[in-house]
Amino acid sequence: MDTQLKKGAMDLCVLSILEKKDYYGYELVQKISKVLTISEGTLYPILKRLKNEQWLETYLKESKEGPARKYYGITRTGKIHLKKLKEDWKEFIKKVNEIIK
Amino acid sequence: MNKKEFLHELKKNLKSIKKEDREEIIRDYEEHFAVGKKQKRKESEIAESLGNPKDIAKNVKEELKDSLSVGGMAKDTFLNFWSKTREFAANVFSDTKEVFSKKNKEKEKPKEKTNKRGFVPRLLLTLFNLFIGVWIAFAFYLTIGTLLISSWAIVLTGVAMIAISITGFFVQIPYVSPEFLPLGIFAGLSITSMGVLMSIASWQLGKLFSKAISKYLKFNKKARLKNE
Repeated sequence: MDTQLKKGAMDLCVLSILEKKDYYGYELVQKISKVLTISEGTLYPILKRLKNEQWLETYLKESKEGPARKYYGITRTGKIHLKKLKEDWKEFIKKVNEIIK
Repeated sequence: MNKKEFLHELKKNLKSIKKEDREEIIRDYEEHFAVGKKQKRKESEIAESLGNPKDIAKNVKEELKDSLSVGGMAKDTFLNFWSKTREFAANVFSDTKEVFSKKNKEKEKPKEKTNKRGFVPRLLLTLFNLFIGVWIAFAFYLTIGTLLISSWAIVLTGVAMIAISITGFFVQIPYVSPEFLPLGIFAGLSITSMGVLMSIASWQLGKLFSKAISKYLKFNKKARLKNE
């Protein structure tokens, strides 16, 4: 798969999930890696990039079991970016569907 | 592979990135191991499902490179300064093109929602960047470059002075008498250290400015989008 395309798809998945609710890293990784069959480790570098782009923000929250966990949440600019990604994605799928039908 | 081996391998392959970035990434994986263990998974099992630390390190470097190209906060060194200035200029020129071509498009499709701010604020920002911002950046680049080169020249002068006065002590050189040695070494050393200090100062200044450009690029990116 085209890496650029894959990257876009991963960004789309991460941002969409975080739009509904904040997650900590492990939880998010489990949620995505199970569906997309990627190794669990690939997600953290992506999260770091999305944070650098200021589409995500992180904060520490105490947990009942053990040390504080790092939570990820979407930012306002993240939501704007997600909207655009979703539109692009739908457009892309539509075109591909036209070709393969 | 256990947790310790995994983290060690990862750290080893991330030596080239900034310390804060490396530490953050390592902490992420440490937390992953900690949570996994709470869920009664074995260390080796967690490590295996994370994947090869070498590949992960490669991914990290790639992702960090990406965020640099849009003015992220990766390496803020002076070496990077030139590429940043160029990137700034390129951004501004493409904005200019976009702003002027959008004008017609927006008339065609008034219904289409864009996340971009209105035409006027974007135009103002772009004009400022085009006529003032870019030139300030270039001027700063030239200034700091000149400062660096002259400070190296000063260092060379100092070193040459020491070398000449030492040589003059042993060998006959016109205009350099052996008595000149203490003064020559003293003056040479002071000039050399002055040059070194100056080059450090201009290097730091360059780094500072490089950071400022990064921040400004980020601000630009945000400013072009509506907040709500």
